[in-house]
Amino acid sequence: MNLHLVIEYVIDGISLGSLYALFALGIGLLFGIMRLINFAHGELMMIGAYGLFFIVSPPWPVRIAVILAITVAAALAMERIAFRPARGADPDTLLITSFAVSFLLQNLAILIFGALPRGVAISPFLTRSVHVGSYTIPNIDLVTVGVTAVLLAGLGAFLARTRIGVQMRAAAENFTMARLLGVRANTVIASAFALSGLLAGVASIILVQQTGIIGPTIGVTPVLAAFVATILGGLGSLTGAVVGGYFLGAVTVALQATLPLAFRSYRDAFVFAAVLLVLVLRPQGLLVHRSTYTRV
Amino acid sequence: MAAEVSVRRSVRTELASRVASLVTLLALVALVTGLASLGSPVLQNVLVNNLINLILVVGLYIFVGNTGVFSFGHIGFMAIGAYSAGLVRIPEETKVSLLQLPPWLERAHLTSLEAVLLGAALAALAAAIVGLPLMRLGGLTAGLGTFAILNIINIVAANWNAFTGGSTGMAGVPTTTGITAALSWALIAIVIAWLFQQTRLCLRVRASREDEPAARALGIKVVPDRALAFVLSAFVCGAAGGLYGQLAGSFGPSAFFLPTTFTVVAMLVVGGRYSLSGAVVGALFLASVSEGLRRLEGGFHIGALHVASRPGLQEVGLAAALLLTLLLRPRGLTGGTELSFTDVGRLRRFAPGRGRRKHEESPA
Repeated sequence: MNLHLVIEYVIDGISLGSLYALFALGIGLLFGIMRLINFAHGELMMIGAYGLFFIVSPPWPVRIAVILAITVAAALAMERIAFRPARGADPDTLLITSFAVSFLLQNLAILIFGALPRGVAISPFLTRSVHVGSYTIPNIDLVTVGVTAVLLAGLGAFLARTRIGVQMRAAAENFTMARLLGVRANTVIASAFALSGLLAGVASIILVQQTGIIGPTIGVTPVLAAFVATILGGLGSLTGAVVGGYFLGAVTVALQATLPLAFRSYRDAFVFAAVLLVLVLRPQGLLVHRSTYTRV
Repeated sequence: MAAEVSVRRSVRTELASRVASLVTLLALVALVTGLASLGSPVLQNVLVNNLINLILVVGLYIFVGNTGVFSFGHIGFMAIGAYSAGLVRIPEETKVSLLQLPPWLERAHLTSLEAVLLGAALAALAAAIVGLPLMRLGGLTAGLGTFAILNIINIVAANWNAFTGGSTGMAGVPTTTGITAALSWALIAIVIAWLFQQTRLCLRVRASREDEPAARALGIKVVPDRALAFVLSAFVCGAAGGLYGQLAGSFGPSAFFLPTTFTVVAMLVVGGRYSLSGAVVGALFLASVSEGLRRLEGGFHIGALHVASRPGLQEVGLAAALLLTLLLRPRGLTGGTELSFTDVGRLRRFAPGRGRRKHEESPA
């Protein structure tokens, strides 16, 4: 394999890893604060994707703003209707609750829009490529990597610098203590949901622009990738979620490049198996977060 | 001496009440089956399907209810059961024309019962392979990991064309699963789950469910114990798969994915995931609800073809039932207690509130 090819695979891996990191961050944010593993994160992306399908005419900035507003509103509604009443329940119950919300939304989408996937026009700009020397880099990869980098930096600054961001980190560290010190539970959790809605919205736009297809179950595979990435990174750690996302992207592309043709359709099965193997060696995940570690 | 006698007596009454609860559940399932089997052929078909769901729920309960670790992977074990039963049941000529199997497998032929047992055994084997590494991840993470297992099995089933028929699936399996077979296996599954609950192993995994650090401090080896429970529950789900394969006749990988997982999880949680009675009651209850919704969907026709006018309604109803249960009665209808005919006079057991008490536990 020559260097040129390797570099193209590296670019692929970073692009895919960025997308996975976006998925995983949305899951990781909520888990850190309220021990909720949100299956329904995928359905936020599904809602964003349908937004992209139905809102076609306005120019891109308006379209993006509207879709992000929709996914943020959907995330807030989800929190208010389903997760606030269940707050304080054990993580199992929260997990099943989110599974139920996810299934409910998927089937509502089937009821309303039908089960068949639909095609969405991809922006012509994104289908073009940039030529750097002898390398061809698709614009969509550049946009994915760039947007993720900006979001990661923005999220980092938000968590480190703003009042609500600091409160969110405090709540993730020790929710009860944070409340005793005057952090408002409702505000912090609603902000976390709003942020995860924002991440889901951005991810849905990128995802649809990559595949050109939407459907009621479009969020299932991304959520699965997010789960695997967060487990890999270590549940509860945001850095872990990002690291896990990029790692998962790297493993996926590496397998895509090295698997014999006959096995290539099994790629994702190998990816999950590889991840499980990593976890045999390091069951806590790559990075361990203080709050999820029980001393025995 | 007196103390010893009274201990012995209390042990005896304890065992009697556990047996009473087993008898109650067996009788309940037999009764419902008896009543529904008098109905139309369509209802009978629904009945067999739901008996298989019941077996799945009981199988899932053996692991989830006792260990407290959630699993989204058990439908994968059902898939293993169905495909392996199919491989030894499809007539040789059909196998030659539809699949590309090694000669010994083309010739392999087992009886219907043996096929179910084979499916169960292979599912248990798969669970044994993934069980230990999975359980090492710890409760919540292991639950997420099972989701990856479901996906791996699904991807393999959808792509291994030579053995599974790929995404179009397997066809030509003789449809031999009737009410008798399904009912017998449902009763067997309940007995297996009940017997398991009488073992020290079950007591140990329950201890680690209630308080893992404390259980470890007592010397309980949480990981291998959970893995053993996982294997047993996969065995039961594999049997359900073998029965399903021989009910459907033809099936593809999509039969063993999220929708089925959701149905089974919803049944377990709505019934109450911390008791065997919960598993059984939940399966029967949601089966009735979803049958009612199916009729509401409007596309209900007598005959083999069933075209729903509003696909999705049934699932939305199931999801709503599950959500309401989680919000109003998170420990399910039974709230973690075991049903028994000896308790009929004391129905206050099922008053709301009782179910909310955390870690309420009945021994049977």
